[in-house]
Amino acid sequence: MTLKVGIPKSLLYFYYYPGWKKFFAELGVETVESSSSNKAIVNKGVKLAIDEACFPVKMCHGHVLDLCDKVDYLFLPRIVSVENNEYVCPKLMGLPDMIRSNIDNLPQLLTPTINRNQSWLSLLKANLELGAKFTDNKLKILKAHWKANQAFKKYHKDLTKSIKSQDRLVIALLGHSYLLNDQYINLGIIDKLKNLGVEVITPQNLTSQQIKQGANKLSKDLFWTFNKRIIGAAYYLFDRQEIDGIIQLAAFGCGPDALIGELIERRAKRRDDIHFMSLNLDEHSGEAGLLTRLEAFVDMIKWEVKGA
Amino acid sequence: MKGYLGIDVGSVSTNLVLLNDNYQVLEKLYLRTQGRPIDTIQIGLKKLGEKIGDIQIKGVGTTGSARNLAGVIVGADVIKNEITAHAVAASNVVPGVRTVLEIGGQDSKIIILREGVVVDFAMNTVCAAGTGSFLDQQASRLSIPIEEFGELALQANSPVRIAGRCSVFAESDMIHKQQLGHCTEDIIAGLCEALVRNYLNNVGQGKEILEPILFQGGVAANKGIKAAFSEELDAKINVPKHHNVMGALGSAILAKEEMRQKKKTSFKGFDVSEFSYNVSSFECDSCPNSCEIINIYQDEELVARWGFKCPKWEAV
Repeated sequence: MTLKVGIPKSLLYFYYYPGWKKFFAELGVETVESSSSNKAIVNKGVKLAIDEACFPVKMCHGHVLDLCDKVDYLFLPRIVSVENNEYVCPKLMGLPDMIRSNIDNLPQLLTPTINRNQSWLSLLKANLELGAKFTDNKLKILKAHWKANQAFKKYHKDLTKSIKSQDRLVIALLGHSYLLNDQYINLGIIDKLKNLGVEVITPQNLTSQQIKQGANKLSKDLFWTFNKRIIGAAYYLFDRQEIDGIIQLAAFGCGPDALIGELIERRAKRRDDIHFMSLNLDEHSGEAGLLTRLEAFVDMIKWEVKGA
Repeated sequence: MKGYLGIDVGSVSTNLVLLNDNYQVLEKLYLRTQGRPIDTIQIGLKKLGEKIGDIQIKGVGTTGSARNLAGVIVGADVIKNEITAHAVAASNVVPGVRTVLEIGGQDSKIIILREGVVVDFAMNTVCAAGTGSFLDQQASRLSIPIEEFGELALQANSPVRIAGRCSVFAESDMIHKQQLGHCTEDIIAGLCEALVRNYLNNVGQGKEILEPILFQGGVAANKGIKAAFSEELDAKINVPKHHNVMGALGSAILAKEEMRQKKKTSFKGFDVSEFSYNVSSFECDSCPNSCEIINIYQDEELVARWGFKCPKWEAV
């Protein structure tokens, strides 16, 4: 019988999943993903998680519960740092502990620690340790490590695109990958914008060079990797004439999101031709408020282009 | 006579405005929604129909949080969000307006205009402190009719400091102050100041508030809030004549503009009040999303359905 490893479809899954899945596949381990976010998962997650956590972290609890009795192992990497001198959010670092203390009867957790700040070989070391649970063949693990890296890079390369539209409005939608790619959390915002006739661009559509170029314009370095990418995307786009507006998606209660939202807004104010709006996402599922803001935002830009 | 109808169905009030070809308000109605938007729309139409007699409706617009529901019931030519509707109305009433402060029943917004064009706006996020519903609630707790609330605030000698960050905190703070023996006027004035501070911190954060300033929405009737805005911003606050129906007014203007391109209105007529509307809802159990689907029937006929996330229930 092949062993099954469960991967919650939440948080950094949305950034790393092709690499994660490839790694296990190369080792001959079957992976099972939780269902896409839905009401049942939300209800369970909100009940289990601490109140202070952001909504995506609460949802992650629901995703874990969704997998519990379907798998032998649960994959919850402890991602501390992926870039030198930078960190990810503390709630994500502590995620395995949070899950362990909030949920009973868990399958065995796989929580490799990835801390780039301790060693540039941290990822390789973590993978060797993780792989050793499933095979004694070091070469096989090394190959899986390499293949996973390739799959991850290909995924991000395939997402990049340039803005084509000449006649449609272009809006940059900025936010964490787990907000942008989870239709339940974001209330289907990308489709809603498309229905309003807008072309949407997200940080994932930019190359890492472009994002780095933007992030270099920060007057002081940011040490939250994923937020630095979001603001890097914004600053890169500010230097060009391609977008008409920026909508920031922020998780309610997320400190780094609030900080970069403010920084982006200040910069947007200097540009007459780029409008800015920040939207807070949380537990509410009523779409009317979101739609009102989106419609008004698009109206505002169109009105200006049309000249009233 | 010809006219354009604007209907704004909000959380607290449902407003109707009848506009003539020269953008003059012929008739207006301000009704409490009382949690029953469909009944209220029907009552509103009936009342308006009786009042105006022989006027041909050339176009209808709906806005507000129940704009889609209202649109289905009356047969709207244009369904627009309330931010756009308020901005249109404001720049029609005061052409050079640069800031619109709007406080309604459950939401508050700020709209920044420059040279007749909206350049920025914001709506309250997860917090409803400082909107009409909270004032209503506090007025009834103190057994003061909401109409006299603002007037009382103006009679205060030394307003007390009330925490405005959150309506729960504000209420407990008010009770503390009241138990210490502060007079009602001072507490109410303090509350008005707190709400204005909260509005400017939350909705007005980072916005360039320039004159002329229009203050509209149901809460604009509250003189205490108006005075607090004037004091805090050190500016003249204008409350337009039709402040409580500005959304409906804007929506009537939008209907008029829409009818330049459209030939015939979709308005179902004032008889709509004769139909019986029924709503049924059920929870779809096809997937774990458990969508709450809502069906809207006009007499026996299904006229609208929403609440779904997938196309399964799309066809009406």
